[in-house]
Amino acid sequence: MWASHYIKLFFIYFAIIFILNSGFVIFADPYNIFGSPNFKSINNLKFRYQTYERVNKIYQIRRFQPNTIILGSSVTDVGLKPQSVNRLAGKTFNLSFAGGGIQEAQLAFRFAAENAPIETVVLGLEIFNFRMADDSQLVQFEGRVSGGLWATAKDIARHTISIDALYDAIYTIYANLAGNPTTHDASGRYTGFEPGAVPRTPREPMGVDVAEAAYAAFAALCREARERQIDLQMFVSPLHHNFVLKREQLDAWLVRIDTIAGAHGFQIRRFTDAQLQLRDGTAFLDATHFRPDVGDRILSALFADSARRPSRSSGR
Amino acid sequence: MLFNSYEFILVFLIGLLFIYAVLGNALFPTWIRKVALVSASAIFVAHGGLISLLLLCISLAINYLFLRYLQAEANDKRRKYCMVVSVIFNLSFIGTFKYADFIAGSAANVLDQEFTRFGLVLPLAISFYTFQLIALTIDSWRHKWRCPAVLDYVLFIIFFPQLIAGPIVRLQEVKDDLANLKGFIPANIAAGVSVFCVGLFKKAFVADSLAKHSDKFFTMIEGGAVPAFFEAWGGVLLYTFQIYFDFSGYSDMAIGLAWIFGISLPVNFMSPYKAGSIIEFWRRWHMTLSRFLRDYLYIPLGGNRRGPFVRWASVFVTMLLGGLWHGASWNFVIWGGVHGIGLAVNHAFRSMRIRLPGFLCWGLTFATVVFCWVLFRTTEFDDAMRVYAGMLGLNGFVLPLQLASRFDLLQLAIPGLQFASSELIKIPAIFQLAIAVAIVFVLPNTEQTFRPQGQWRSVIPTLWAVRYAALGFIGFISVYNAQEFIYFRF
Repeated sequence: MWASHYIKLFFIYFAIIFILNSGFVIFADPYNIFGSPNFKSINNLKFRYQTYERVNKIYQIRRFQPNTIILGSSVTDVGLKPQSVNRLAGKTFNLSFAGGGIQEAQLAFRFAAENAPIETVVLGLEIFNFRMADDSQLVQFEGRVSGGLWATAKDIARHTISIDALYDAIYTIYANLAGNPTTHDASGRYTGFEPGAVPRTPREPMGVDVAEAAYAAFAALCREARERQIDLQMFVSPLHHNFVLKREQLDAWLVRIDTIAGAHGFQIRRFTDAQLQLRDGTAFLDATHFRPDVGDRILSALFADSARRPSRSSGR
Repeated sequence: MLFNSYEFILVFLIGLLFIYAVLGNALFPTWIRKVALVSASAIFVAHGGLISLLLLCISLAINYLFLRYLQAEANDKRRKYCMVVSVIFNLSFIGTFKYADFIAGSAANVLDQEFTRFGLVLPLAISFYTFQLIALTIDSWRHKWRCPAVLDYVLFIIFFPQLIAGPIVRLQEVKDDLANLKGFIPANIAAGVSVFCVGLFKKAFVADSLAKHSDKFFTMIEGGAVPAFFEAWGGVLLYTFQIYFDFSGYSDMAIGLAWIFGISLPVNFMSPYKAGSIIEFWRRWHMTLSRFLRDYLYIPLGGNRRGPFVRWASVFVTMLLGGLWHGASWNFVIWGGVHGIGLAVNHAFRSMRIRLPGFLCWGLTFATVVFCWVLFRTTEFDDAMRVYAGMLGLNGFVLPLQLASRFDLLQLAIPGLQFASSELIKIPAIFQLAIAVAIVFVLPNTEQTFRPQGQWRSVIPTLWAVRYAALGFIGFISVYNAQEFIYFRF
């Protein structure tokens, strides 16, 4: 008799704790999944944004409904201010991921195009984006953006009914109450990046192993942009002049991406040091990350050209 | 399949419970329930690789022939030969799959020859079921047992809760439970589920949280890091508590799961870190292995019947082999050897009637155990030596920078103490370690809670349901960060 009562109570308590935990995590919404109401100094700032950037941004973009997205890696995440693009190309969201490759960018692009009224995409390209992607990370990301019911349910469960989610929900409330600074602004840009050292003398030329799958992803991205009639603004991200890449590899990469982009009617912009004032000692945060001022110059140049081109409504 | 995985809990276990609930009806004979458990266990093993299941079946079949022969044969001499052959077979079986690379590699090293690994797959649970089979054959020979029925025999070995990492069970401990396998009994479910929740909490929440820090510590050590005093102690203590919660958590899960099905497995842990001597430690740590080593190795080697020298030598050899059982590597052998020396010294102290204050006994025992875990965890002798140098203060004293404002007076007490940003030990690790220490030393253990005096409680207070639901839930949501059990490798 006692045992049946005990078992019933056990499962009732388990269910109550389950509901309380889920409710609390949904309220704190540490990864922006649920779009829970924001209360200032309680849950409006998300302190685990950077660690879970690939979760935060994907769920956030459905609610944000931008017209323009910025894609790329930490370089564009840090260097391109959506507010600057807003003035040029409508409501903008920075959908770049730290360490993100072109395969992730392509998946993120498709997801954004299917879930928001995207008209313009700004894509910062680096040879590093074309390396072999981390398979497990890519599979997980693919599941998240695929929109499949099972993958979405697993993803939401993973970020709601897990000890990390509980810790992060507690931390979100605590850090909001404590008034801690956060790392991202409302439009997804990484504002908490800590500057590193800029090389004082030229480094040994660095080699990069480029993956064939990355070119395929880039081609898919260009093709989809063309099919969806989206204005794809691409540029090669500038590096500090003392950060040198192996010339032959770099040239081969540039030729290849130019060819792919050209085949779909797009152009990849390259800027000189003089155009972006890159020789200015304050242009870079470290060897690869340019400052937002440089980003503003890039965006101005991209959209100045864009304005001269026929608009989407008139066909490309 | 890990017990601490969603596929096990939500698919395998719930599916099996559902099937077993149906088969528990009195309409069904006992053998159907046995078949269900054997089939589920076979699926459990096959999930880890079909080759593991195949080898287990081969071992089961051959050992069953030995058992049949032992029952049929009346001649004692032949029965003894049969027992010896079966032990040799089992040792060869485990030796081939687990130790072939180690033996050949060590020989090649001594002879200064090139060595290419055989690359044989290590079958799941081989260390545990082989020992269980050896014990069964020897006991059958010693006590002239009747060979168990095939289904009982197979279920005894393959029963999934205890198959992979013990406890190492003896037939007489579960014979009655196996023979009278009933359907679900609410009292067993209540206790079994609660014990499983305790185990899940210990493993998924406590051990895996500690593992994040201790793994980082030992990875850095393998990378050549030189730990200072507090870092070294912190890292090693993290591992000390990680391995306890990892293995005792597994044992609790196994005991709880088995009890849900009405099979009572033996105790495997009894607060080993509270032990006041190395002898006592081995009576509380992995108790079923200690018992096996005592009954099937130490006593046949001479035990305590042939004077102190033979006794100490037997202890030492037993522990060397016990160390080797843990893994095909010299660090496990040395670890076992050091424990063997500790046991021999402990026996010598006892025979000389040297008595130390209780707290000192506990401190010495605990320090010895902690020091030995360094050998167990590191794979290179140099790494272990660097950790030992750190633990002895030879690499200086460094505390995390965050503690500087609160503990700056310590600099007066400890010359050379520095506060620096430590990559090896972080504040959360210290916090988690403190929780683990409190659980070990303040709270009663699972056995004391659920099986006082060795018997399952006849009644569990209803309010405990809240406690175990909470522990179970925390364990359940911690499963996302699950790591393999340390003893799975053995």
